[in-house]
Amino acid sequence: MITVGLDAGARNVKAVVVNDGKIVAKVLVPAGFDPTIAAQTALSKAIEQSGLAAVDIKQVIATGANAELVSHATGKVGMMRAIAKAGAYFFPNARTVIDVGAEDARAVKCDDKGNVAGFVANDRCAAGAGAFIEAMTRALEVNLEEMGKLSLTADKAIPMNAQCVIFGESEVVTLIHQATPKANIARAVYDAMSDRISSMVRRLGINPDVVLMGGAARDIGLISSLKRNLRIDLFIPEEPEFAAAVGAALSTNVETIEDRVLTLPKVELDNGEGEVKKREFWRWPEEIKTLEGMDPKKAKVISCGIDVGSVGSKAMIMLDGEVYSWSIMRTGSNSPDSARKVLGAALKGTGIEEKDIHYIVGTGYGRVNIPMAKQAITEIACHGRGAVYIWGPAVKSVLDVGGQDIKAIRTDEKGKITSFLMNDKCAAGTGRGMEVFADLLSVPIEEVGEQSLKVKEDPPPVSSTCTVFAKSEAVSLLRKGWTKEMVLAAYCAAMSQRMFELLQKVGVEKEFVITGGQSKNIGVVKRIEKLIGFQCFPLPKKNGFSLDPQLAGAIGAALFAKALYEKSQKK
Amino acid sequence: MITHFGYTDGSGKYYISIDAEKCNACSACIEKCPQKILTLDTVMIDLDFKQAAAVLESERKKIKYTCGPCHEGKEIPCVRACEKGAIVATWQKL
Repeated sequence: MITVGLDAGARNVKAVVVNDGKIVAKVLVPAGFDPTIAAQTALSKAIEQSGLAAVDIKQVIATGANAELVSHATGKVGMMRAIAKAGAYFFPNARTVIDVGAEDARAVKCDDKGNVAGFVANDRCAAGAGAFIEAMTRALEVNLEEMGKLSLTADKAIPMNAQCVIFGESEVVTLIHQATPKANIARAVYDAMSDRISSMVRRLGINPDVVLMGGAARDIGLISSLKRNLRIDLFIPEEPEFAAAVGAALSTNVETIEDRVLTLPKVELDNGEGEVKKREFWRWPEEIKTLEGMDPKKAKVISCGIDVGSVGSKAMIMLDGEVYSWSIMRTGSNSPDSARKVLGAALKGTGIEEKDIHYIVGTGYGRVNIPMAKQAITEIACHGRGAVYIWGPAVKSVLDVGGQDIKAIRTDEKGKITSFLMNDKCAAGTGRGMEVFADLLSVPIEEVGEQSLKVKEDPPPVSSTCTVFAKSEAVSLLRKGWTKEMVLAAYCAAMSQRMFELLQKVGVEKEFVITGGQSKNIGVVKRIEKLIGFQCFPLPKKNGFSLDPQLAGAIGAALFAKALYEKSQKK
Repeated sequence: MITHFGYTDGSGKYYISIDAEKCNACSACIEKCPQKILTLDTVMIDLDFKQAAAVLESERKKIKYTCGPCHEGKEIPCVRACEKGAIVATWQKL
């Protein structure tokens, strides 16, 4: 019997022709923007390559993320079943099969006949999928093949903190700035990824023999790291990217599809846009300000808070607990330098120097690495306190949307924090995610919010929360003829929903404020207000100006600095 | 002060929430955790510092997998071990 297996993946469509259990043809076609056409191409090429006549083909079985879009399939089968079948076909002793694709990873437990006994999957998040390594090769400026070889020459294992592709990229750039050898970074990338894959597989139990397949199974860097991590040898089929298609072709228990033809609109490329990137659209303006009419020489306590965030660093100098001079700058490749730079900027022109400051508190992502700080305090405490300073003691809920994390904080009537959470695992909804989008659409980051509100009615939100996937979704929406404003609206809507969910976890009160860089994104603010059903506290004006809510953490830190200084003087 | 350790990602919500004010740092949960992901950590409450149970920093971003097996059973060992009722687990797969 002759059957064709079609694996319509996120990146490539693979077609395999199997004649009585023997593979007679293999074809790979990039999925492009129309998986249906790619599948048709792969199918006809594979039949041609096999030298068989189309009439001899008894079955075309589709599998993969886009299996639904394969118009010529006579049946379809789930990825779990397909990879289990393939595992048993290539290695009869296979009991655990791991498949790592471009946008997802999965593992199945199977018996000797290739029947599924259990499975785990990781989708909806690009960490742990091939896209993770791909993004890191761009940051490292090496190609995929070099990357694997490079990692094998590493002389040191260094840990990587990032769990998200977006954050991983910035971490790799930081490591390069710190002159870490590329080989060691490459190994760190593979270790981070295999750590994620193995924690997923351990969930299922590791039963030998373990088979690794999917496009990423070609990567020697990943293979060696995964072997190290799982402490077990891996069996890898030749040309592992075709394995799932082979499994589909061999599947007997398939869901049959009635004859159908799927047509997708073909849209021409929009050539006017996104061609030349002269500007870096994600770059936001820095700010330095000193209030006039205040004299630091007359102050009893000069306190300072330095908030080194993942994207922006903030320094606030306070005189007797009142804001005086501050700066907001982009965080550089290391925390101590960023702290020095931002403090230097805040002190400029004030007539005081670092030694005149009585107490400095460090906070934020880089808080343990601020050399001039006497004490480090978590950003949660500082943001809560800073929000109360900016908006007054009525504040009950604070949503802080920073560059690499989202914090939801709830306080009681005394300003004491009663509950909080911090989501720093995933870039969805964070400032960094917005920057990626601004860059993609060539819209200056300051204008993202406003442009997203230009649509008459919000289009359906993008379906992927993962920034990496949302990005590809956005590109295909643009190809379909959506305007930039519509895409921005769809993205802002999805991200607001994400922030709202986090907020619900700690409970939201009417006395609600948003701090951090995203508080300036009106597209997000308006949509969150709609979701919670009431408006955020308006930003109060003191002496004719409003404080930037991005400063909340630094203000809180400076207030703690004052309190700690006074406490130390009493002793 | 309740700290929600864990995260929300595209696949669902996964949290171990610990109330530092209820926690008496008895370490019962730390002993009962089959995956050994709990520890004692210093928490600041009103400029004062106290010890309370917490999820290890290195484990916070992968509890979907580490805590997964406990959520298949009827009882969550850490939640059950806590006399003070300071631990709550949330598991919502999409």
